[in-house]
Amino acid sequence: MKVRLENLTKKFEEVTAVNDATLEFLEGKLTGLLGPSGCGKSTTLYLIAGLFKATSGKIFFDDEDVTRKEPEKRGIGLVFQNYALYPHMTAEQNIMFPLQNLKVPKKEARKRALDMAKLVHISELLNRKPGQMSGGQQQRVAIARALVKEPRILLLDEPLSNLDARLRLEMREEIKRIQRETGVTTIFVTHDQEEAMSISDQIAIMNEGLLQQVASPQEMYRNPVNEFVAKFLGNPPINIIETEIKGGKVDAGGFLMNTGTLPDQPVHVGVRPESFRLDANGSVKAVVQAMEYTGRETLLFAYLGEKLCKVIINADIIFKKGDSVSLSLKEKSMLLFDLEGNRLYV
Amino acid sequence: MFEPRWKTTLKALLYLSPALIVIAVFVIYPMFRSVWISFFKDYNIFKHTGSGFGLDNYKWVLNDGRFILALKNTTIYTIVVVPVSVVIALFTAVLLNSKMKGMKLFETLYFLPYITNLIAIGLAFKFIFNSTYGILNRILGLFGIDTIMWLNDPKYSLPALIIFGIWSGLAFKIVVFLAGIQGINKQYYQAAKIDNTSRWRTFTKITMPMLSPMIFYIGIISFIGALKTYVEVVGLYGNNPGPADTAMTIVYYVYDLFYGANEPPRAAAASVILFLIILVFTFIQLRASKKRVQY
Repeated sequence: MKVRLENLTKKFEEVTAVNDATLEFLEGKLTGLLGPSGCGKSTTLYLIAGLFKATSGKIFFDDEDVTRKEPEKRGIGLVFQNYALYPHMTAEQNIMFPLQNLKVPKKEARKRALDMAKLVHISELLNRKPGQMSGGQQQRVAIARALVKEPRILLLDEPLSNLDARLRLEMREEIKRIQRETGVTTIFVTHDQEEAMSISDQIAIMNEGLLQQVASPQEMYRNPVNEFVAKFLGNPPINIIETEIKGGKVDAGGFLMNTGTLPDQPVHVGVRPESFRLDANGSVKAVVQAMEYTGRETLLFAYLGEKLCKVIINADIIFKKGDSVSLSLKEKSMLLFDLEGNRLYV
Repeated sequence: MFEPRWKTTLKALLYLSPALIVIAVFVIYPMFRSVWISFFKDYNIFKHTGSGFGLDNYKWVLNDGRFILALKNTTIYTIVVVPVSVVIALFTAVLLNSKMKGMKLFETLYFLPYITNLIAIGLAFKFIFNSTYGILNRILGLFGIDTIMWLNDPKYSLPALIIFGIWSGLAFKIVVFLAGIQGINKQYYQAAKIDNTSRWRTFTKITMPMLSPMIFYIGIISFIGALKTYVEVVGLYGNNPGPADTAMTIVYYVYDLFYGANEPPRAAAASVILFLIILVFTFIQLRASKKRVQY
């Protein structure tokens, strides 16, 4: 099922948590709702769930307006950040609970709970209580409980934030797999751009209550609509060089670019760390300040003119402080933003 | 952590001594002393002597009709007051917790009885129970129920005591339950709402189990309290335990033997019996709760 938000706004007294958001969540796909904390992404999720009521605007499930519908009538499954599993019930009782509310006969409820447990790989843990399970296992139970009533939409609020790094990688693959196997339209909230990029079919990025951009991860990374999106995606983050357009040209630390008909103005030029190449014939010289080894690659901190830039290079190459390196840039890798942060297209 | 030494132990005892001395003088010593006294024959209170030791006082108490009556009254009182007041308090707390305007005011109102002297409340209840101009009979009259002599008819003196006991114990229970309910993570209720859980099921399957440690705690406290009922009787009846002793409780019996009949050894024996009853039931409750109290 499709979920569509139309001019959705939510105010808490003086604070506007979600400001005039219009977007569509794709049917049967996984959409990541991404943004820094306090950007309104969880509020948006709770608005879709119905736990918050919209101040204005509309929410559609397919063509049905659900804006004023109570949460229990919306047919959604919600996984809370800290899972909200009932501590006095076993995993099986937790998973069966929504079905018992719907008066599903006990035999069938048990069968469906078992099927769900199989799907999320916790069949052998059904008799345990949440307190006897690890975070990842609780997470699986919470997902099973949300999915067992076959909701039209699955909502996940920061599902991985309470897990340690290794479990987080495992569970994000699991969420992706479960979503694919069930084909349920899924919206998941996260502040971790890497997490959003790695499992989303589509990302919606928010900042200060405003929706910034909706696109596939690749598109958003390559073609951010503004400086906020460019900076938020990518680790190490994008290099921002402050410079200006003069006579149809911009000079960013020595790299030149034709700016066509854009008028003269101060600009920020964004260059991803992986867009640089070590190139003996490179036109621009940079001075090495420090190196950071991550194993797979090396992060070079180098002065490009006065700007200290991050450059990703092959892990085999070793420089020392003060070395001079020649750099070139991949095609079309300079992103221009005006001082308000809006993208300037050449 | 450090090893306990004589020096540190003495220091700790020094800090504890004000409390220890008070407890020793007013609780521990009288406790052992009354157990001791309860075995004396022909006890002389001034000389602390008697003509011998034995179980005579216990035999006398257990064969006293007034003690059996007190035991029966106390048992009925406890069996009715504890569950009824716990259930009423639980529902009131749930109601108070639901978002309604003016709830802060209600919370204050419900706590008032707790900080008010029971004797004073007893006086107020005397008016409520008054057979000719009491409000209770007025209300019952609206439903066509004839005038009841609450405080003067032996049939109704224990029910009157029970109504008073339920009411006077509510405040504390409500406050504890309310705190317990407010301590339950709201997300459980949000999850329940999304899963279309009815109000009743939310209460029985989520609120009750989550509150079970607190319900149990309140249960034990009020059980012990009910077995020791005394002030309620004085509050309602003053210096007699109802018409024909019909509102006599064990503690009232003990008090009456001690001051009224001037029989300290027999009073001591009765209080030891009460102590044993409370001990046994509390032990049973503790054992039962291990299986019942969730998580």
